[in-house]
Amino acid sequence: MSLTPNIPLPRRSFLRGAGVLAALPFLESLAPTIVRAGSKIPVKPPVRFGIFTVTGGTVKESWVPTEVGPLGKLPSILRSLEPHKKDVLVLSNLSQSGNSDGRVNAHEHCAYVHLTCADKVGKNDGKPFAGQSVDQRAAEVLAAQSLIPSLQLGYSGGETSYFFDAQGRSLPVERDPRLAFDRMFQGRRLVAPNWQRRLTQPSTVAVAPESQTYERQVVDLVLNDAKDLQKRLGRGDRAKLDEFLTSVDSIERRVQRIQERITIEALDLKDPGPSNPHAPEKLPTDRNQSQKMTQAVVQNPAVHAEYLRIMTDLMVLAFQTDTTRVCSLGLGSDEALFPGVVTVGYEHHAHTLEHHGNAARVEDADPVAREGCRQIHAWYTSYFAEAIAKLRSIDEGGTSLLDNTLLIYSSYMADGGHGRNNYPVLLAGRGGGTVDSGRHLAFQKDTPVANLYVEILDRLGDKRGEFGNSRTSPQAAYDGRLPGLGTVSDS
Amino acid sequence: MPDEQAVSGQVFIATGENGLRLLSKDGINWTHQATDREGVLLRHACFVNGRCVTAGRYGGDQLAWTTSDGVTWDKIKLDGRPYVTRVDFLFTESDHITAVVGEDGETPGAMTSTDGKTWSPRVPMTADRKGMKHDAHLRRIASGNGRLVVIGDYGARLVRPADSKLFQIDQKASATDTLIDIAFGNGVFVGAGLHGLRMRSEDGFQWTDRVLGEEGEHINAMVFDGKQFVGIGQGATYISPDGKDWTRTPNENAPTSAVFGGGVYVGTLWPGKLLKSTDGIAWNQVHESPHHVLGFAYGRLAIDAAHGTLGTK
Repeated sequence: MSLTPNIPLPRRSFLRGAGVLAALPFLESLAPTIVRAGSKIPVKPPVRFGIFTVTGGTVKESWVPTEVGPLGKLPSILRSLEPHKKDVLVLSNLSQSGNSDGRVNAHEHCAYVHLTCADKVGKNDGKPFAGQSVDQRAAEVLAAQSLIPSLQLGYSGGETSYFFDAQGRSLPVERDPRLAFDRMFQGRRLVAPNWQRRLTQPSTVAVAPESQTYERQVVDLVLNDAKDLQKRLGRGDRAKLDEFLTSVDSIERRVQRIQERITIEALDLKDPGPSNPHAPEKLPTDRNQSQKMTQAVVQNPAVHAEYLRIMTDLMVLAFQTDTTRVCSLGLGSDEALFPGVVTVGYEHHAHTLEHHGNAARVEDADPVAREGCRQIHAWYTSYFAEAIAKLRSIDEGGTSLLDNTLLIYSSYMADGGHGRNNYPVLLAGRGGGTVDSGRHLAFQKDTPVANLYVEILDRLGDKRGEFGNSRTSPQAAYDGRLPGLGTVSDS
Repeated sequence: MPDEQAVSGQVFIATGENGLRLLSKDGINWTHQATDREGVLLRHACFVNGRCVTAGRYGGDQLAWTTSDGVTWDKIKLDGRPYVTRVDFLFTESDHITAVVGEDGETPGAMTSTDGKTWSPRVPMTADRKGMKHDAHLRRIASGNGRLVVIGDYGARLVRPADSKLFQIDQKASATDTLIDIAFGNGVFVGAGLHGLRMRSEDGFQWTDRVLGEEGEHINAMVFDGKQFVGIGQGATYISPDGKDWTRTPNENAPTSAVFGGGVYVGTLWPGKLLKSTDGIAWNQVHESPHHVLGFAYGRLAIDAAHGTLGTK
């Protein structure tokens, strides 16, 4: 069975053609897999893309396997992934080469290139700029299929801004788990999509005009009024009105998506998918509690651990309920304290440990601090392992959510010394059968990280074959690709 | 209220986050719990002339708090550059206490006091202005054979011979052999560190009998109990009379910081767990404090003339 690539439909013309009927076939036509009704072949739900990136760089000798090929005993930082070895693909020798404009510090430099692979990053009037980050490019590709195009959750921000829109502007990250949950599920029921039905039995349910949402009716009224007005305006005012209409158009598209989704989820509620989504067990019950938790993250590792679990659960839930197909977690903090996690020496402050634990030569680093860094990253990995286990446990109708996900695990610095060479990175999940896991692939020294993002985007349907500096980096390699990750079918 | 009774004699003190202070006569019953503002970190403690002196920081300020009875505390701010100067540790020498003070890129300095309230100006500990790694902190000290031996980050080792007022930096010391704790007994210094690292030295310069333990068995505390060295590691306790011949015994619930006094080992585990052991191997939790413990000391509290009485405050 092969994947059907996403077909770029002109949305507006489609909507106009569909008239006032909510366009259920719209989603089906974009679905990545076709399975005949009644077939015994498991359905292939869409591929989701996740990022689980942590702060602080890491300790490479305890992260990167010494052997290439099938994964043997994992290095100590990855040890908690032993039960999930067959689901992870470790990649090494990937580097960033983007320069800074000299107006950013070393942390910002690393953060801004991390997911953008921009040739140059910096600040304009104090505001960070970089290229579009890979999550946003993926979100752009999958926007038509997503209720929410992308989610950026976690603790990143400020010096550790990773996410940038198409104009290269830094995007906010939702730190508050309660707000993140409410944003996803306010007014919605938690239901697992029935992919079998969604992909094989096109619904004939239509949305009659009278059942349209209030928001839809308001948008239509606004648009009609605006179009009448446009005929009577001068050139300057028309431009302003065009900007306004563009905004309304964006709202219109969102309203349309919501309307379609309401219909689909109503069907899912009657005949849901096999898994049973639920809110994270320890999700704060109110905003106040949530804020308190968020504030305590950097002070208290027990709270930090709970926070990691909740945010990870939210990502899993977002994928499980098809709330979004792109979710990024910018986790951890260089300012966090790790007593009880770091059980050696006297220092528990991540940033201090990073600076003392790294040096140009390993033997020049303070080994106690380096061990502290190693313990912190082994701790982060243990929560990533939990995320893998959760994704693996969710049945989507013959395949697991993990089978249908590409999840990056990485850090915004290659090491605690603001390094940008040989990033620790691995891919978890099978990407709908497009990734051959259970291996360690070592590429040519300083192969651009951008090549990895090209491969990921390709598996999400972006066939442009370039991203960031995949072709412009001084270390450009492999014709901007990463060979050997697994097979992508173009059929 | 029993905790308002003044304390005298030999006691353990535990200090920590949010200005935490706790006292115990036996390492089991912890009393006189006091706390302060959030963000006050009391990392170090020491005894001198019947007083307990603690040191730490609040924001950019370096603090020294002292008591003679466990009830009343004098709180002063140490001289130094905000957010730059730091107290690396305290130690007692005859009738005075020394605060070892560091600043990144600067020669380590010493400030002394006989009561923890009045401190001498800072003086350099060494004439070797370039001998220290830029941001190395000094961590621990041991005294013996007429000399002082200090250990710190990046394998830093400083020795003050009997005939000198200044420390000499051991330039041969490598970061690979960074020691986390050091103790003196039976005529030798014994240091310990990562993965069960142990070494011994008679003069602080020449270190021999280097051995490693098992992976992950980091020794955070090396104490001399009057007869033997006891290295408390994560997963195993190593015991030796001379720093050469060691026995390894698996331990459980081992603390990440420990001190010995009055025949009892006392340690801590995050968050705020206080443990007690009679052999350094079997550890039992005896108390849980509301905040994490960062420093320990064992010493003597005595009548404070300034407060006038031995009894109730």
